[in-house]
Amino acid sequence: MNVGLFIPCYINQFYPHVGIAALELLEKQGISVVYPRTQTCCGQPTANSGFEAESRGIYKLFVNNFQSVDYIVSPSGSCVHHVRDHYDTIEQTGNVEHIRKNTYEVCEFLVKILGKDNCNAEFPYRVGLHQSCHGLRGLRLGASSELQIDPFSYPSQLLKNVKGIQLVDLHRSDECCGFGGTFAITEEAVSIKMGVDRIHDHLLHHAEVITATDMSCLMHLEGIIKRRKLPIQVKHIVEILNSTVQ
Amino acid sequence: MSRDLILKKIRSAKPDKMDLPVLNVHRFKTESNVKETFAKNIESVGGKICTVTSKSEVLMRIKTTFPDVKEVVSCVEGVDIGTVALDKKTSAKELEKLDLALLEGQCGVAENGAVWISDKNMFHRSIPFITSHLVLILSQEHLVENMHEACERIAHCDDGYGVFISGPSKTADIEQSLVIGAQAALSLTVYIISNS
Amino acid sequence: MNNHSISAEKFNRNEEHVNWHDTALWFVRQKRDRAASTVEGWEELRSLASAIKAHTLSALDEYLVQFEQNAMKNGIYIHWAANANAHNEIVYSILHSHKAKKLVKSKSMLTEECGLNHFLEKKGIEVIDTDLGERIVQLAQEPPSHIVMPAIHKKREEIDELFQQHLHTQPSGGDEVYLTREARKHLREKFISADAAVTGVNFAIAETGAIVVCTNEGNADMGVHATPLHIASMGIEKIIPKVEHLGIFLRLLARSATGQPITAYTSYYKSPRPNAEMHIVIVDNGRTDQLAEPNFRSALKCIRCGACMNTCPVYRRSGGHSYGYTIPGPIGSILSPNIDLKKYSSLPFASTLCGSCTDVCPVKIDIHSQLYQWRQVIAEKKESGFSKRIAMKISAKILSRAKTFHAVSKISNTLLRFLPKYISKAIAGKWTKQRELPEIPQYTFLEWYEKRRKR
Repeated sequence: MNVGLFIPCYINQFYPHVGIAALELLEKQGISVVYPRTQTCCGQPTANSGFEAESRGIYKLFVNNFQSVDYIVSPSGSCVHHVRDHYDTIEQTGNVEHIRKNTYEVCEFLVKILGKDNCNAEFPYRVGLHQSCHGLRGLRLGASSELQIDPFSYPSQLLKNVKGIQLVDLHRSDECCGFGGTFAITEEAVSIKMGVDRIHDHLLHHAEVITATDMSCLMHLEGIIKRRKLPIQVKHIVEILNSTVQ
Repeated sequence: MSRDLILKKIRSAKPDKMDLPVLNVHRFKTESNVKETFAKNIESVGGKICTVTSKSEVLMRIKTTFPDVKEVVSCVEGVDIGTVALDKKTSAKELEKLDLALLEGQCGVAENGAVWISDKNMFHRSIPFITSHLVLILSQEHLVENMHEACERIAHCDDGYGVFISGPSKTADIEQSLVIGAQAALSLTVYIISNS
Repeated sequence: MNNHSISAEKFNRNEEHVNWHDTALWFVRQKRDRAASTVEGWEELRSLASAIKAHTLSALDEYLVQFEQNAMKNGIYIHWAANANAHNEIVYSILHSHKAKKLVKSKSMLTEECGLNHFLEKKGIEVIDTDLGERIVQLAQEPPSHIVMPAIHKKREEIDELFQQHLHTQPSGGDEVYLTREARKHLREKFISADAAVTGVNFAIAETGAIVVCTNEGNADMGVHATPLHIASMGIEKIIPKVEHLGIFLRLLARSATGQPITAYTSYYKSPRPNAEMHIVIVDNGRTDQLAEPNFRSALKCIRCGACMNTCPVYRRSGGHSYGYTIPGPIGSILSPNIDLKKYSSLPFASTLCGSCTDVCPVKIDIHSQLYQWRQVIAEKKESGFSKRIAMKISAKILSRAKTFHAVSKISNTLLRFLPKYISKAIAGKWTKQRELPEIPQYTFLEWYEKRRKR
């Protein structure tokens, strides 16, 4: 199988090490990974602001970049959700349908497609899992607390097999961090309050690291952590799954 | 005419017909003990429950549990504890002083401790609400597990009014602190008549 | 122009109050979770409720006509109101013809939506809201901030002072038992001396022509049975086909709203008692417009439980008054743009689209999807604001051309690395008010990958 790696625009820009971890993690599974160099963005930021019509050019570029791979994998639940759910506004060609069906977030790709839940990683720290909303309720990477269904979580399943890790419980297992794209700017006061509350939940439970499937959530939380000089760090889940003790 | 305008707008706005799902409510039945669940739920909603063997035992228990009540209405044949005379002209105002009212329930619902009463169980619709203490008698064989079964029973109700009563009146409008006894009855007691 | 973010910012100036409000509502969400976990087949009940409502909307005219016929057979007078003003005029004319001067009213968001109280008071009719929470906000001269718990934003000390002022109670530090008992005495007087009672309608059953009203306080029944005139206001969407469907909705409603298995009183009004009259006013007021919209019609399935408000992390941290509409929170944000797109254009953006509302909704309204869809309508109708529109259009153009994107990406990182911090903070605007910017890396992922490829 060949896999196309999609790196969200802000990870490309600000967090290349997360993209590198995602690439290395996938290559460790023995699959051939290509990174189409003309990729840009999934179109979520403009579409979520109401400019879905204007985003079609972005969607078409995405489709062009990834039309010849078996799977598209990305370290971003929200981008993957956007491709699967919102690319219905462009003509549904064979390529578009193929892409919408075969775009996966990293954790669900590992567990559901490769059937793997052990990455042979080592990360001896207390870690809190922040269940990013688009991944959780959009892609159903886990059972959301609102639903009366059997509990499951691909990210948790993978983390539990990391050597030395201690996963902490939280008071609110899946409350939103408050990033929400432009919401972080337009509703700044509420956005910050939501972020502060999430961080405090992790601190209360003595987490040393907050992890998530979405770097956007972590970028927002890290911004608050650094401003308030709080004793906690963020790491994208692929960094943990790709890690060995230094 | 508003009616015609609204109906016309609906006809042009509504989507294509969607099927009405078939209800297979047996799917919701559980193995739970109906009487135990009913008792547990009455208590959790702030009511009291007591098992008795006959209506005369009810009479006795009311006298011992509510020794100070003066204005009493009994809508139950065979339990003559009433002290207030009622007729068709009795107004709500005259009933305002009611201390205790005794009514017979037609059906009890285990999943939520609710009891169904209707016009035939009360002389005046205000009675179950305006009284300070509400007492209901219910036969154990009239207990059902859930609201699906209860609605089957009330579907052909001839009466012009009925109500599911679950516990005494209550409110939590002041900082979410629960207070039992809001605008209607301050307490609810259910006597289950069981012949076993 | 209503703007949620401005009101929300003000609300957040008092962090302690936000914590208190958030905690109170989260507590109700948790009660809902516990209640849902006790019901075998909860998710199936939700699916059934959703399908019953969807079917009903697709045959709404037929069911309304059936309901009207059966209700009239039961001796009920039926009236139809195209809009809020028509509703108010109808209610007033019924009251006027009965010489009714004192009205008691149980909770009805529809009458709130129509501004009934204010309308009647101007005509010299006394209107007393008898639900305790509604009475509190009525005395405070505020709108309700939540559809089920209207006074959830009020602290007990504030309520104590209100009651001292209007009910002449003794200072009690907000003792809820004392205040509730005093309210009971006060409201009893009102019930006994009222000429008429107005209620809302939780469910209207087409099969039997009966309506169902759910309360915990018993205040709907206290009013209706004490007065010779009962007027019930209902939106067209309150119809359900049969009594058997009532079972599904009653199992979901209170559990979703407050975590109770059922409200203390679920009253079934089929015909008035002898020598009394019962009227039902069926109201459109924009609902047929919402019905005509394929993307937004399922919002009419709403059974007004409020679960979406309790779970919404934004509602909990901004309060119902920030929304500026009768119905706040997630459901309010998909109903209000239909009423006035311009006025309520900030509401679909008062959300991170987290989807929690959709997962708690007992009738499975896809609330967060509709919020997204309203954003498209708002942008299309040019209600987004000029600078946002330009910024988004430019971004979309850059992001759809790889070469342009890469050029911009390269330049911006270089710039950000070398610009003095105070300038990059100014550019980043609101991001940096309470957050640090991410550190600018030495290379983008693309640069790293290309270098790696050359090895």
